[in-house]
Amino acid sequence: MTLGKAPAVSAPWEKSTRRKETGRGLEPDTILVERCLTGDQAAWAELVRTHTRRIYNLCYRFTGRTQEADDLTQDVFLRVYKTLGSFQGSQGSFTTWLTSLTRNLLIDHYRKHKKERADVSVDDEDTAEIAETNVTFTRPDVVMIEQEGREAIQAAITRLSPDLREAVILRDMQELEYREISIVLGVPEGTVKSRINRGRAALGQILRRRAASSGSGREAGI
Amino acid sequence: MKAIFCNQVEPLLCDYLDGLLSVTEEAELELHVNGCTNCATLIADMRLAMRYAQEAGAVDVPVELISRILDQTTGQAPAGVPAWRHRFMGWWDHAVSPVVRSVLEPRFALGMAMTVMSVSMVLSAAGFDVRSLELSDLQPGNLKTNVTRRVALAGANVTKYYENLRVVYEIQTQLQMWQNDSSDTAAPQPKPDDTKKSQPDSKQKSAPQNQNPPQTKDYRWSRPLKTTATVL
Ligand SMILES: [Zn+2]
Repeated sequence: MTLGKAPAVSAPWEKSTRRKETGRGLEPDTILVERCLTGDQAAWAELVRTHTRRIYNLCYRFTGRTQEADDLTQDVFLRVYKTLGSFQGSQGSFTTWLTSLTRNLLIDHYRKHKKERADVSVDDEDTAEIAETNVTFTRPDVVMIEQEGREAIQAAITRLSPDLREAVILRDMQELEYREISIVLGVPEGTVKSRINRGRAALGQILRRRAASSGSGREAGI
Repeated sequence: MKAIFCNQVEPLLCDYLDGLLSVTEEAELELHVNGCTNCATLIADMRLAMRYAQEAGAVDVPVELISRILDQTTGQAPAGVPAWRHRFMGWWDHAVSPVVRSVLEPRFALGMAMTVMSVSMVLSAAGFDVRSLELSDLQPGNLKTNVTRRVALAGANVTKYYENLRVVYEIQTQLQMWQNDSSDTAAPQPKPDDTKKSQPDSKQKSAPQNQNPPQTKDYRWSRPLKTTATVL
């Protein structure tokens, strides 16, 4: 079940991004940013409205807590407001820039609160522990299976190591391109793919075992 | 079609799950997976994770979040702008700027620009040395008394209106050309092909400001964002 190290199949991210970014027109967000920088408050409000949902979801998926997601989203936009001038449309999309900024805040936040959550964090090396920890995700009173599935995936995601967690969230939930993720994480595309693979494998393993254990206790599992 | 081994599967997985492998690669991978329980389980797990992630969808944003963000941001001075300046600009935007703007309607600015243009042409035709001239110097006395007082008042806003006018650009280009010509050669008359050459120079002024150093960029925030209420 263990996966080998991913060979460096892709070029360094600098190469791949520059190739794609040059020669395309200003995207709507870049125009909005330009307007913001001339003091256009309507443009700023539009920028916030456009991106809040995505950023809030990213923060929620990463932390697994709505209150933290709420606070972090505010922090993100506060920082965006203060550093908007440093966004350069020529060096990537606004979405990528915003996601990078959010990701940095999330990692800072994670490191700050790491001790509070001394509980197990799952990496590919210790996925075997999952079976022993024997976490029960099921509650007899939960009627809606769909809701249960949502809770299960969130519980599973927050058990991944930050490296794998962010890679899977950005790809499978935020639906970013590998190229964009490689910019956000500052690693080559090959590394991105390798982390996504390991993240998905670990997640799937947790979910499969959960389904098996809930199936044994309750016939009508997912 | 060649046989592949477990260690060759991993690099193919993302593309395989995205459905982006070539027909041959896909067939090779599936041939291996059909005979390998480990890889089959791995791929099944990954598909399960992807399905769950997709079905999880997006969570709803708390209702108040956006307005809280806007309240927090629009109410305070952005980086690089001192608080006193921010307060001053807020007062400026709400009380003074609307009055100034009403004076500086496009047609007023256009009229002014046309006057400047014609005066400069007369001066040039009369053999006047334009080398040392600035745009403001070309304004006739009566314009100067009426206009520059307002110009001084309006500050940055004037510059914005002023510079955005195409005709002003052309005047500036023309002036620059004459200045260049009179310094390079003795001939005061501009050559037609020089117009194209010096065009980029005037445009450079308004070119993407995000190439400026950070301090300059932050300065662009000097006009603060108005209250949330007006936006929403
Ligand atoms: Zn295999």
